[in-house]
Formats: sequence, C-alpha cells, structure tokens
Amino acid sequence: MLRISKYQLFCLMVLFQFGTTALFVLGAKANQDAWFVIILAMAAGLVLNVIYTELYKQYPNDTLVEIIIKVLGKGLGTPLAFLVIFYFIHIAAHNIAEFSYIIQSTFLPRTPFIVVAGIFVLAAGYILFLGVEVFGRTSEVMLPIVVVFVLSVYVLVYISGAADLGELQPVLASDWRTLLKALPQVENAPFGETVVFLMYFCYADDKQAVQKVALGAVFMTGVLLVIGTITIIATLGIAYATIAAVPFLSVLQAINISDILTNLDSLGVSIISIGGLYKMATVYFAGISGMATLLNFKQKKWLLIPVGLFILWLAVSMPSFTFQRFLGQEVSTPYIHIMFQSMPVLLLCICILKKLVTPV
Amino acid sequence: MTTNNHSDPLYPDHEWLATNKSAVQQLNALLEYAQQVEVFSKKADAAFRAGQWLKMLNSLKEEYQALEQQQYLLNPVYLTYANGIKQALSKEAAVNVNGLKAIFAQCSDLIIREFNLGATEQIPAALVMIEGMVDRGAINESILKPLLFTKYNGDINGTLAFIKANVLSVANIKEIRTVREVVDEVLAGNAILIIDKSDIALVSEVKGWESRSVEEPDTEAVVRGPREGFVETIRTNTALLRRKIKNPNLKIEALKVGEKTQTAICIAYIKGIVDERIVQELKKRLDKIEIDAVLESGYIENLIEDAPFSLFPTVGNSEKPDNVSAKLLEGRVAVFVDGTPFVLMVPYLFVEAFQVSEDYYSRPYYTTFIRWLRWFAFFTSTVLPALYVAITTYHQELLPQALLTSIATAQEGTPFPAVVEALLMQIIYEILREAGVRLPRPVGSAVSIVGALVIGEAAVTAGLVGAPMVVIVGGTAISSFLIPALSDVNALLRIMLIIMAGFSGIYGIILGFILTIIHQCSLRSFGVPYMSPLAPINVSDLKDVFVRFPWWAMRTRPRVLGGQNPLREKAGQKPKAQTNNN
Repeated sequence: MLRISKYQLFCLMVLFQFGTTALFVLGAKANQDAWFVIILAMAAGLVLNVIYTELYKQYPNDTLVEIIIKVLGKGLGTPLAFLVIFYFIHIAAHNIAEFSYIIQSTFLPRTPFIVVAGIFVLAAGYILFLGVEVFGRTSEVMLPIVVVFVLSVYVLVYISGAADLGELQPVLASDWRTLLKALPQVENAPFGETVVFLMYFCYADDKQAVQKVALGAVFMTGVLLVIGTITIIATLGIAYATIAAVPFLSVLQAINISDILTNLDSLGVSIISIGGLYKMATVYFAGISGMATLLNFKQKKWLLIPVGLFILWLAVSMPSFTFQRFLGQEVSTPYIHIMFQSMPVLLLCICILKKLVTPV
Repeated sequence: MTTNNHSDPLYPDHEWLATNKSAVQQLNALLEYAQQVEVFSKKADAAFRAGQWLKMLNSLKEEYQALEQQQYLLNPVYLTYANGIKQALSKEAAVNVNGLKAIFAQCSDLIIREFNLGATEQIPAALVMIEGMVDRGAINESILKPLLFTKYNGDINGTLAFIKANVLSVANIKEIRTVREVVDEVLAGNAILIIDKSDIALVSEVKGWESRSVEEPDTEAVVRGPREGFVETIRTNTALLRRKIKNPNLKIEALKVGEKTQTAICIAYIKGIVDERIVQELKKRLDKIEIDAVLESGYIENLIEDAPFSLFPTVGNSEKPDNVSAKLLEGRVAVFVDGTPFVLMVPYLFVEAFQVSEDYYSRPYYTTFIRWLRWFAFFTSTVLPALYVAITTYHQELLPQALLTSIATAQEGTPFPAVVEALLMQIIYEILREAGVRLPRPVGSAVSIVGALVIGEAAVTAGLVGAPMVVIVGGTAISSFLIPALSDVNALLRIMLIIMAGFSGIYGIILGFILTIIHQCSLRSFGVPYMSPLAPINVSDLKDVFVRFPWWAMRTRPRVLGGQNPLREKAGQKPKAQTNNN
C-alpha cells in the first residue's frame, strides 16, 4: 500500500498552490490592495478546505472519483466523475502551456513549443511512473529549494533598492465591491484548486492529521503569496505589475547588486518551473488515478502514456500565452472552476442529508 | 529434476546420492546401467547389420535417451567412486594418501610428508599440507617434532586420542572423517595428520601465509584518527574489528561463496542495535549468489545491490576498521570478503558520501563548515561546467559586463562551440586522471607535468581552448576530490549535464537536476530510502547531515536505519565548566 506522510502531503500542497502563482500578481483587479484580496481569498480557501477535508473524513479510504460514485450512484456519478477527470487534465494542459510559453519566450525562443512542453510532460511522467511515494519524497526536497529561492529573490530585490513600499499607498482605498470582484479569481486559482487533493488524501498515513495539514498548507501559501504580491507591487508599481506578462520575471530583472548579481531572470524562471512541473504532475496523476478507477484499470502506469499525449496535444493546440491568460481569468474562473470547486460542498450536503434520512 | 549444470564435478552433491545412501545400492545401480548399455549396443549393432535400423530408429532413440537420463543420474555416483571424494576415509593410510595424490595430481604445491610415529612403534602416518599456506615453523616445532619423538603404547584408537590430548601443541585441533573434508581443510591452509589403522584424520590449524602488514590505507587518509587499515586476510580484518568492539554482541557469521574459489565471506553486525530485517535480507541475497569466483568485494556488491541500473551506489565500502565500527554501531551490516581490504556496508545512504570518519574526531564547528563545503563542492563539481556552457551559449546576460567582456575576449578565436570544448576538456581530464592512477609511480609525475602543460598553458596559447574553460575544468576537478565516494557518479553526471546544457541551456540543467533528484528519491538500499534523512525527512537524523552535533548532543543512532535500540548515551552528558571559588 502506498503511503504519503503528512509532511509530504504538506509539501505537495504548498508546491501545488505556490509553485505557479508566485509568478503573477493575484487579485490585480483590486490594484494596490491585491495583498488584502489574497488574505480574504485565503480565509475563503481555509473554509473550502475544511469542507473538502470534512468530505474526506466521511470517506477516508476513497478518492474523489469513488466518493462521487458512492454519493450519487453509478448513473449520475460516472459522467460527473468523467467531467472531474477532464477538469484535472485540463488544468494540467493549461499549466503546461503556460509554463512552456514562459520558458520559450524567456530563453529558448528558437526551440519549438512542442519540444519544451514535451520535455515537461516526460519529466512529469517519469516522476509518476516511479509512484506516488517517490512523488511525495521528491516534493520534500523541491519545496525548500523553491521557497528558499523565491524568498531570497524578494530579499535581494529589497537589498538592491528596487522596491519601494510607497507604491502600496493608498492602503485599503478600494471599496468592498472592488475587493469582492477580485476575490473569486484568487479564490479559484491557487486555493480552491486543492480540490484535486481529494484524490490524494486517501494515501495519507495519518488520517487524523489531514485536515490540519491541508489548512496549514493553505495558510503557508497565503502568507508566501502576500509577501510576494507586496514585493512585486512595491518593485514594479501597480500599473506595470498588471500589464507585465510575467511580473515575477520583471522583479528578477530589477535585481541589481553592484552589477554582479543581475539579470537573474532565466535562472529564476527555470527554478520556478519546478513549481509548474509539480502542479502539472499533481493533476496529471489525479486524472490518471481517477481514470484507472472508472475504467477498472489495475496498472495505472499504462495510462500515463495516452493521457500524457492527450495533455501534450491539448497544450500544443492552445493558440497563445495571452489567450491562455484570458482563458484562465475570464472563462475558467467564473464557469469552470466554480463548478468543480463547489461540487464537494454539494457532495458533503448530500452525504450528510443521506445520513440524516437513513440513520445507521 | 534440478539442473546441475554449474555444479563442480569435483564436489558432486546430487539428490540421487542423498536419497540412496547405501553403497551397495549405488554400486548395483551402476552395474545395472553398465549391463543395459551393453545390451543396447548389441541390439543397435544387430539392427544395423540386419539393415533394419531405419525402422527401429525411433525405438532406439527412445532407449538411448532413457540411458542418457540414467547416466546423468548416475554420474555423481560414478564420480564418487572414481575420485573417492565423498567417501569416508579408509583405515589404511596408504589408500588415503594415494587418493589425495590422485585428487591433487599436477598440484606441485601439495606436500605429503610420510613418516612413522614414534621412535620404536613404527606406525605409518602422513602429514598433508599446501606449501606456502602453512606456518613452517609451527609444523616443524609443534607437530612433526613431538609426533616423531613421543613414545606410544600399542592400541591405535588410543593413539589418536593420545596424540590429540598429549602430543600436538597446536591451539585448534579438529577430527574429520571424509576425503572431502580433508581436501577442504588442506585448501584452507591447515595441516592434516593421517594415521594408519584409523579412519579419522586430525586437522591442526597452522595457517600462515605471506600477507601485507596492517598499514595506513591510501584511500581514506586522515589527519586525526587511527591509521590502521584492513588487509587482504579476512581473519586479520575481523580481528581488527573485534579489537574495536569488544562485545559478544558483535556477531561475525561466516559463509562461503564462489564455486571454484570457495571464498570466505563474513557478515558482521551488532545484535541488539541492528535491524534484524536488514540482516535477513542481506543473508537472503548472499545465499542467492551462484557464481564461479569472487575475487574482490566488488563482485558481491554487484550481486546484492538494490539498483543495478543506477549511477548511484547503494552499497558502501571502507578500508578502515574505525569507519566500519562506527557504521556497525549506527546499525549497519558489514560484509568482509577474503582477499580484499575493502569491506562492504549496507544500507548505504546518499548522505554518507558527505560524512568522513574524521568528522567525528575533530571538533564540531570546523566539521560543520567542512560539511557545507562538501555539499557545495558536490554541487559545483556537477553543475559548474554545464552552467558555464549554458551561460556562454544561451544566457550571456547573466554575467556582469566586465566578466562577460573578459570571457568573450578569451573565447574569441577558439575553434569549438562551448559545449564541445567542455566535453573535450572533461574527457582529457578523465584520461589524465586515469593515467595518473595506472601508470607506474616514476612515470606518474611526468604525466602530471605534461598534462598540466598540455591542457593548461599550451592549449590556451595555441588557441585550442579558452582560458576560462581551463579554469572551470580545474576548479571542477578539485571540487570533486572533496567527495571521493561519489567521484565516479560525479564525472558521469557532469557530462550528462553538459550535454543537456548544450541543448537547452539552464532549462536543461534544471530539468537534469530535477530528474536526478527524482531518481535518487526513488532508490532504496536494503529497504531504507536512499535519500533519507532528507527525503523522507527525519528531523532527528539531520543532526549529522549538514551539521555535526557534538557527541553529547547526538544522543540517538540514525533512526532511518530502524535499529532496535536508538539511544546512544545517557542524558546530561554535556560537560559543565567548574568554577573555582578563590
């Protein structure tokens, strides 16, 4: 039986949430108060994660797909489960496309897109081929690397004097409506997506600690993101931060310590791509393990190849980075994410109702 | 029927022999077989003469196959009687001696000293040994001299007991009864006494051969710490270990591996500290080995390691008793192999490559600093050339202006692209290193001078390579000497990363780096994750990874090894300064 320790679960969850979002300014619609939106979103994320883990507690040995079928029955559950799996695969493809575009545009402009994305899929496939346990173990090594690197970038920016906290003024000038308008997107992008971990919770060796770990991971991500957003806005100013393609990159370019440490952008992006790789691998595996359950596959490993190719095809067929961002912000957020991330809430309600109706 | 293809014809141990022990039955079966062969050949002959052999071909073939099968079954019996090896010893000394002479035909190093016991009794006897494997002095003084000059009284059975009890002045004496045992003991370097009218032979342990004395090994040099190293004799090695750990719980189990070489192997562990499952697993893997020869512990390492297709070693080795003792006390198991000073240790973890025995003898502060240097050096020596290639090919903007200008000037006019240049220099460096190891010592210095001149000064002046590349390769080489345990892994990883950097710059390096870490995380050594205590993380074991806590703070043994008794010392060992109130 494969097992993930609670620390590994924590690392996976933080990497999943923080790895990709560190690149962008979240909640940019609220201008200078983006950091406050993140705090609000984190609070909402905590609530959502309480719900997810409560649902998990009802079915401590089942993945999300199995829970859906158990709660809704085969007739209604199977198509919904397929949609969920497709949702995961879609996140994977979206994520790969985003990262491949960034890498291609920063330092491999002449390399074909499919090569960069293909190497990404191959690397993720290799981790998953070695199994969930290895996946968890490697995350223990990768999380410190990513976090230490990102934090040292922030420190270096302040040391080189490029950041000006005055850019954050006026503090909390936006009214509640603006804040609330910016909220759903932040809520969905890193925090709500943890719904995918409903596919992982059942591997946890310490069932009691899962809720604590999930909430801790969300909190840690929130704190890191607040620091990151403040730094990005302080460095670039809100006007540039909202229009920059990859704000974190511009922050890296702003680092200049006596002309020796400069132009760290390519190094930075490639380290940050660890986060992208892990996010991608997390959803990739969730999709595969869900499929294996639905199709009654004993050997998950064989699904890695077709699903990997499908993800690659999806990623390659997305037209451009700008379209990517547009798709992510304007389509996914209001329609797709909301649907799938609130589904566990419904599932939990049905489950509790069922228990009330048929007392054990 | 089990296949006995690689069983030695000298030592036939066949289940047929085991199930039919009676010699009469064996001989009868042999005779029956001979008669059947005769009948068959007559029949075939007749059929052939009558011109009917085509018709009878099938039945003849079947009969022949049955006979062949029978011959296969009887072969060990035949060999037994032909060589007389499994046989019990004969009561007549002459028969035994002649048998041994037949078995050891063409072995010029066998000595059979035939003599008569006692000055007056004249009982024929023989002493058998192999020249060079026994201690001549002990043979002459403690065995032959007393045997020749003692008075014996009549009865033969009494003589043997009398000799054992009163005559031979040798520490270890054994009685044996079969020819096979005699052969084994002779080959092990003991002297065997065969006496007429007795079917028991006496083994006196007088092993004594030329061997290197205990000296400081070249591989694990220390400034502070014991200088002694293992030698090629297994008993000397286990004794060196026993001298460090004077405890009956230090178990040293012996077994033999190698059908032709019969190499002695010892498994050493400390009962009560070690995780028994590791010992069981090791024994299981050693038992499975069926190989003709074991000449060095590397043979065993290859046959028992967890990840045969990995670059990373999952079995450790050491040449120093203090190092092996420390590992045993942490809960590891050691494998001694006769004929080599290199002792294997399992489980072997990645972090062990960064721990040196001297770390534990010097004070913790400098040790911690050196540990960091080792991690840094490992990282640099794998990544630096690749990083140089990536930066000069793809990411020139990463360098400060001044540095970029000087590198560009130096690289100007060199004929190769950076990646080819880096690979070329790496290969030349590896060639020089290998030459330095293999060449006879006097030539070695010449090579290093020529190497330094050729790849250093001359190559740069001739415009073949850029000076920065020489600096990078030199720095990398020196860095890799800090972690000798991983130097071969290091060289291969370096070349892999250079190629990846040549293809896709820093992106390639990072991917290669990630894949390496993932691969390392997937390895296990005898059930213990190879990257532990880093992944899965074990906070209590981190006291001996990036830092080295003082001894009073390292209260527990590494927990990842799963030992039974994790506590190493009592609490409150921290020394306190005493104030004199005057």
